[in-house]
Amino acid sequence: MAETNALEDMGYSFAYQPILNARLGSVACYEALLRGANNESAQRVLAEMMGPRFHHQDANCRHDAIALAARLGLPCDLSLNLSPNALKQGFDPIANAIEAAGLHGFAPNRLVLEMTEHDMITDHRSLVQQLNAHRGSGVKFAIDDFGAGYAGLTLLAEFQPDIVKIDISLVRDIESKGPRQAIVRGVVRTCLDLGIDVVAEGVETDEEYWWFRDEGVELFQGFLFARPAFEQLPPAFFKA
Amino acid sequence: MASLGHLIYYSRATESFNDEALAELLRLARENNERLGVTGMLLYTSGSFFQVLEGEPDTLQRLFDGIAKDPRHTAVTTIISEPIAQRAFSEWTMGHAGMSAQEVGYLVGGNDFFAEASCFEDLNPGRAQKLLAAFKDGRWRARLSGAAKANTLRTAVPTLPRYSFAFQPIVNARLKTTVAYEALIRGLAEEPAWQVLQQVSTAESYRFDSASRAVAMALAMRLNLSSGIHLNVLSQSVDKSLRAIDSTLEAAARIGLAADRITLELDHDERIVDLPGFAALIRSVRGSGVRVAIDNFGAGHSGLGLLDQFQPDAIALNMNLIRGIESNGPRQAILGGIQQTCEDLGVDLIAKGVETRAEYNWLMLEGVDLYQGYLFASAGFEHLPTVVFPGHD
Repeated sequence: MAETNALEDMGYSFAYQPILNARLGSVACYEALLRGANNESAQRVLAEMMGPRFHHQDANCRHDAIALAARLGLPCDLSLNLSPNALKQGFDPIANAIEAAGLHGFAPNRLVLEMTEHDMITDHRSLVQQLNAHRGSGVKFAIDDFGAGYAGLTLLAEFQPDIVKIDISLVRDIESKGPRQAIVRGVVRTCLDLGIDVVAEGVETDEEYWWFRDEGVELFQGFLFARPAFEQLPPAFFKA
Repeated sequence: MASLGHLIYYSRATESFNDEALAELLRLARENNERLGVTGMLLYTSGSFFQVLEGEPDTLQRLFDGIAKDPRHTAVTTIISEPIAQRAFSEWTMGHAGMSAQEVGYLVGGNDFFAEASCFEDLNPGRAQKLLAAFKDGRWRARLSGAAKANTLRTAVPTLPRYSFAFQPIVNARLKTTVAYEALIRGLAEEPAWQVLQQVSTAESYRFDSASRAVAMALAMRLNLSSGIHLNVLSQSVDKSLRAIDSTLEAAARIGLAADRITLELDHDERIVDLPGFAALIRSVRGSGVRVAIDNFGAGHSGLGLLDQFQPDAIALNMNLIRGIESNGPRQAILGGIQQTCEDLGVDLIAKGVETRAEYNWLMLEGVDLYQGYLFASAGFEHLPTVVFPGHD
């Protein structure tokens, strides 16, 4: 495929992993995960991208992730990672991503931009203003790795994202960890009160899945349902 | 430090237990535990077990590993596993020894207990009841307050420091009691904390911390402190300051202040690099009987992940979260979430910096009991201010 070769020339490509709505039995979204041209890990690719032009290369990555998803016939939302640091340096990666989506026929409301809790901690006031300025377009924001340790719930006082993805460290073995359960119940309650969707990510076992279902969580991502697939939109395996 | 811990779990029974089956289960457990030097209690109600085990930590872990594999229950969930200063159930001599099968039936059968707790009161010492009441209310974890040691020996302030303390009450507004005074460092002429602390070099800050804690405790005892005391860990090197806890405990013992009346408040902006190591340190501090509170929860880097590693006795909410909460939706939702987590973990929630009746009213309705702030009392320099409890709508 000629177009895939074009990506290979870039030295990177993407794997896609579904985020599914377990109640509806449908895939809500695919997250694009950066990979090397031969499915190498993201770390290696990122290390090569580091440098003064990182933010532009990062933006190019999102373009390519969108283009590839469009070619693969993406039927639902697309989730892309975003480093908000770029916003501080006079470059607007959000407008850039929305524009790229438009070129491939995706409305902004099909685009989810994920930032980590860690990214949000420094100087979030001005960052929040910049994020909210794009809300009118319909683009959705997600906080990834939520609960991993830093900002925690009080971040949500400043900024209410559309989606919170509960960090894998809080998901693992939750069915047998009392403190973890208590923390997640607190997060879920706050999110429900604020109308934020909760995603349990990194779900690997039936026990983890059912614990979250019992707490009213509907959105899931993890090996239990589908592994990331290199340059494909893999189907998700739904639990009965 | 004596090596003693407790492990509390709950689980779901996979088969139904009648009183006889429970008595037999308990008999076997009692024999086994007596041999291992393990004390504790076992509750059974509506298909759920709730067990407290106390003893030497490695022994407990081995015992628990065996218990967890028992096919008669499932969904075995550890609530708490941590060092403790003293056994809460030692007076039960292996849990339930000395009780007739009938009594045991009452105990573990639970039918009567959960309908009317009164049948329990005849059987158990106060602390056990507390734990059971907490369990009954759906709380997992008891706050076992050991009896304060009757020691009234007092000593004068050990050195002549160039600082002193103001004290601000922390109150239980529902019970209208003062539960503790927080010691706030001041200059001798009431200069604010930062002016005192800027004179302390980073290198000596943890020694200063330890010395100033002794001063705060001595001053409070001279002022006839009858409640608990909250001491701030001011040092930048929290871990070093905490390792110096033994000297604080010695100082407390000299003036007759029991360890369980002391709460250390941690307010660190430092990002904790080694979280498991830090958590282990906190657990060992708590093993000495001292309570640990996280101040300014959620303000800096003390986020939720911390609670997964260790469970403090109390969390003080950041003032920014309290301010104007009666009309701020996100703050209300966050409080709700933190409350949920704290309730499930048996962690006390303290609302600090409460200044208005509107804030207080809203928090009271949400079930927050513990407060600190101008609305109740300002900090009193070298005295323990009395509290005026505002009425609430």
